[in-house]
Formats: sequence, C-alpha cells, structure tokens
Amino acid sequence: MRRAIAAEIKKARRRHDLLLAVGIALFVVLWASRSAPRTQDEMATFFEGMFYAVPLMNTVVFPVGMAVLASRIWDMETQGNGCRLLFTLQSRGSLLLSKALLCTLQNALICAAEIAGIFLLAGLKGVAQMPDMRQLAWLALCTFGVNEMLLFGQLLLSIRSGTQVVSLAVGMIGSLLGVFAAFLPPVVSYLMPWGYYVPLAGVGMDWDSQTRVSTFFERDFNIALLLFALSLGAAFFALAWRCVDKKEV
Amino acid sequence: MLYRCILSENRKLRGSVIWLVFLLVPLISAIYGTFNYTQNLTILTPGWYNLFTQHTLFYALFFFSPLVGVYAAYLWRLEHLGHNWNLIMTAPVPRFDLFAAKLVVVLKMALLTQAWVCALYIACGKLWAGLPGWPPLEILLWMMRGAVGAVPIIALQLLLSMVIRGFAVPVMIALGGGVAGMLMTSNGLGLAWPYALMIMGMNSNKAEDVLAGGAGAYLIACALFTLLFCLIAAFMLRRRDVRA
Repeated sequence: MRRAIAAEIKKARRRHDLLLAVGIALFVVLWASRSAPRTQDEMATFFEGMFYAVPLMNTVVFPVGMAVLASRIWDMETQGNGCRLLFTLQSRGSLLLSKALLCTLQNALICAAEIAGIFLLAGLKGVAQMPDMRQLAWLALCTFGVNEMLLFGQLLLSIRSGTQVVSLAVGMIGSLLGVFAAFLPPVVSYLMPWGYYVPLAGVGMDWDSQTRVSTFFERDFNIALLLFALSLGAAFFALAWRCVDKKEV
Repeated sequence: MLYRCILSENRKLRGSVIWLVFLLVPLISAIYGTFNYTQNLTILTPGWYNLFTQHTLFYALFFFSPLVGVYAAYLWRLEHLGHNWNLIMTAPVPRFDLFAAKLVVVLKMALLTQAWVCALYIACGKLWAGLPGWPPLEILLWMMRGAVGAVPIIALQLLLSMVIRGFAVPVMIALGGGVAGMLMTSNGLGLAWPYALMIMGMNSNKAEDVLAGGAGAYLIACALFTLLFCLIAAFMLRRRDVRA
C-alpha cells in the first residue's frame, strides 16, 4: 500500500497537482481579500466577515476545483491506458485507495492553505484581534468535509465515464446550482450538495437595505448536515470501489 | 482547406456531452433568475431590465468563461491523445487553419449559447414573469456585445487548451479569469483583461450602461486581444514539429 501511495505522489509531482491544489485555495483567499473590510469599524468584524464570505466563494470555486483535481487523478490512467497494466501489478482496491488518499491529501492542503491565507490577510490588513477558534475550526472542518464528498463524487464520475468532460460539466453545473441555492430558502440548499458550504457556515449576515449596514451573527453548527455530507462522500467512495472492482480492461 | 477543417471540428461535437452543458447552464440560470425576480418584486423595479440582470448576472460573471473553456478544451482534447499531434502536424492543411477552424466552431457554440440565453429570457419574461410588451432593443444589443466580448475569451481558451495537455486546467483558469474579470471591471480596468470584456458587454450587474460612450475602445480591445492570441497560436503552431 505504501508503494502505491508513493507512486501516486510521484505521478502528482510530475503533474504539479499539489501546487494546483494550493493555487485553488489561494485564489479563494485572493478573491476574499477584495471583499475584506477596509474601514476601521469594519475591521472589528474582519474574521466574522471572512467566515461569512469564504463559504460563498468556496461554493463558486471548489465544485469546479474538485472536479479538476479528481478528474486529473483518474484521467492519467485513462489517457495512458494504464489500468490494463496496473491491475496486473497491484490490487484494484489499492489503486483506488491510493488515489483516494491523494485526493484527501490535496484536500487537506487546500484547507490548510485557505486558513493560512485568512491569517495572512488579517496580518496584512493589520487586524489586531484573534479569530474565534471554534468558528475557524468549524470552517476548516466543513470545507474539508464538503470537499471530500465532492472529490469522491467526481472520482466516481471520472471512473464511470472514462473522460474528464463529464466530471467538469457536473462540477460546473453543480457550482451554478450551489451558488443559486445559497440565495434561496435553506430547504433548497439542502438539496444541492455542491453548495453545502453555505448552509454549513457558522456565521450569517443580516443586511439592512434602509441603513445599508450589514450585521454578522453566529449560527448553530449544523452537525447533522456535515455528517450527511460525509456519509454521502463515503457512499460515493463505496460506489467508486465497486466500479473499479468491476471495471473491464 | 479551412472549410474542411471546420467540418471535421463540427463532427467532433455530434452527440457530445458538451451539448448537455450548453443546455443546462443557461436553463438553470434562467429558472433561478426568474424565480428570484418574481420573489423580489417588492425590492426590484418590475420590468425587462431587472429580469435581464437576474437572468444573466451569475452566468456572465462566473460561468460563461468556464463554459467557453469546456468547448475549447473539448475540441483540443483529441489532438492531445496518443500520437494525434504528429498526425495533424503532417496533415496537408496550413497549421493555423487547425486553430482558426476551432475558433469558428467555438464561436458558433458561443453564439448559440447567447441565442439560447436570449430565447429563455424572452420565454421566461412572457410566460412566467408575465411582463408586458417585448424586451427593449438595448438589451438585445447588450447580448450581441457580450458575444463580441466572447471572441477574445475563445481565442485565449483555445490557446491555453492547445498548450496545456490536460482538459481540466484550462477550464479552471477560465473560472479564475472570470472572477478576476469581475474584480477588474469593478475597478474600472475591464478593458485591460480579456475575461472582463464579455462581462462589460453584457452589462449584467449595472443599472446604467458601462460602455456608454466607450463602445469604440471596447471593440478595439476585443480586436486587439483576439489578434494577439491568434498570433501567439500561429507562432507556436509554426514552431511545433513532429515528435518521433
């Protein structure tokens, strides 16, 4: 198993996958920097603003980003017709498991880069106070959980379709549905797994159209939804396992 | 020769999954846009202008560029498989025709997409939102301007997909470019960024026309970016050789 993982990491290094993963996370932070508070009054709620805005930006970027990462991991075998050879050299399970672990590693990198980026941004903006660590941990946990579900879903699609096109198309349509669901009643957002970043966010916002003032408020952590997202991810992985197991080469 | 190349590129699209993306992205955008419009009639001024904003805001800001990215990457995908590059390098057609044919076919797809968006907008406005009369001609002009702004994005995405072997990375770059385009437009630097041109042309997020009095500069920017990307592509194709 260790050899299989080492081989996947080597393949990823040649394709600069880890760099791409960090780039995707930093892109979200860069975008967030444009909507970051500017006045002294707004600086007092810098982290609350980030905890509200970053999940929204994640909804636009990550469904496509996860489709890119997951489809690249499998497409390499499709393009090189590698499965035929690999299935004779290693067990099918170890091949999928090593790819799933690489997905998880990329996901962990994305979450770490995003959190580090938020701190970096706070430092650059001269924010003095520390963030609410519970909210920060929740943001990282939810981003990781939803990304993991999307990665496994996209991996399943890539294995089944044998082409990146389907994966990317679903990622793009999912991103669009997720963004729209974010502005619709919560019941709708529960039906769009690509947009789970928003209903899972620990901070909400009230915008007064009369005074044009935004007020942030804490929301209950939606643990049930996070568990559902993780279960969905596990189901996608199980289906991918079955798919690889029955794959004809 | 160019015509034959266009025919062969068109053949790649037959029965392709990208038609699904072509149909669904504007459709979802239209359903959401009209729903949001009908739910917020107390805040919005009822009329064709506000319906247009609701229909095309997210489509133009975030999803048009990746959509074009998918079209472009799909057409280059076959060339990157196996030894197909060698095959097309030895084909008895001028090399730039390969790029130009793809440009024509993706442009056709982009125009069809804009037409589909327009048809959905009118249908939703009349049948769902119950708007009186017909959309102002100005909005149709914005749609056409959006199509003109799409040309440099198409040329750039084709160039990226030609250089980058993977299918997915150019699409991700397009998404990033679209988001950056939104930020550049809000800072008044839209004309300097190819991905912002379509957003500016569509005028999706502004009540007043962002190109009022500046249509000439807009058209020049579109033409210059397209020319630049085509020249780079021609140069790269000329230098490219068969790899034995």
